[in-house]
Amino acid sequence: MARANLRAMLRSAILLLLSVLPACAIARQDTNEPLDATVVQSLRPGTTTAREVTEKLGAPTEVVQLGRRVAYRYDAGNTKSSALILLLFNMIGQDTRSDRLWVFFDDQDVLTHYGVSYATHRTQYALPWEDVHEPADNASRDAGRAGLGEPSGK
Amino acid sequence: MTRWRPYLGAAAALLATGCLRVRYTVQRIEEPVPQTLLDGLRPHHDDLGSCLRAIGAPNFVWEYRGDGLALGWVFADSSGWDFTASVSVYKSASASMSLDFDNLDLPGVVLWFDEDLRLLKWQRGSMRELTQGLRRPAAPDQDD
Repeated sequence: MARANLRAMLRSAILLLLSVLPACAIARQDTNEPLDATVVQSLRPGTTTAREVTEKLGAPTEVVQLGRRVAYRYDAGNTKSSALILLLFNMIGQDTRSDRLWVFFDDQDVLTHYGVSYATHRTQYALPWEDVHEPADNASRDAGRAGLGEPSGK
Repeated sequence: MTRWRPYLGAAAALLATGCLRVRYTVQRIEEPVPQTLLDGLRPHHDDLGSCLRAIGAPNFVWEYRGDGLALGWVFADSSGWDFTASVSVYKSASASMSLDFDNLDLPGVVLWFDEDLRLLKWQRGSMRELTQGLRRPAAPDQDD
């Protein structure tokens, strides 16, 4: 009797294992190239012009008129998705971060301020129960990206 | 018959995957702006430069009262259940029904600046409510 129970449990365990084995998937989506921190650090508020910014960084993603001022947005995005696909039940974890640079110009097209954030390198493949915002994770990923650790805006 | 029950159950579940699906999704978008950084901002003292240095680049920039502006940061750490059932009604056509419990309105932070680019105020909350009344970005003149 006990042996029959053990066999039934073993069969169930094998079925469960077989149903889970082919059920993992990952996907990645990138938008634009990550921002180059060394190029951003070469921007000089008070002297750099809008023309010089576009020569260094190319065409902006967005241009916003702010009264007599204007702002350009440069960005890059990265999304990593992980999925566990079971028979009827699926679990999906999705992590999206971006690099963003906003440059602000006065009415003479001279750079007055800029703000930059780098985060595409922090994106993680993670299932729903995993924490992707741990400071230690971010710090280790920051260490591997060139040019970080500088002030994020001027 | 009893010994076949697990196999029949597994077969029924396999067949059901064609028309039934339950999905649990966790979606993280960006990282929240730390509250300590916001607490350190001083309205009427801080300006655009000091705020950008403290918080980094926003997700959005809007025009505000002529020469003023507003900056917006958005983030999400949301989860939702999604149940989908579909039934074949005629050859390859199928009718389906989906219940989605996700909340589409994202939390965020908005900072408002006057025409001298001095910080007027900041607020954390629902972006849908915070951005009510902010003008959409206008395209620059093509003649310039």
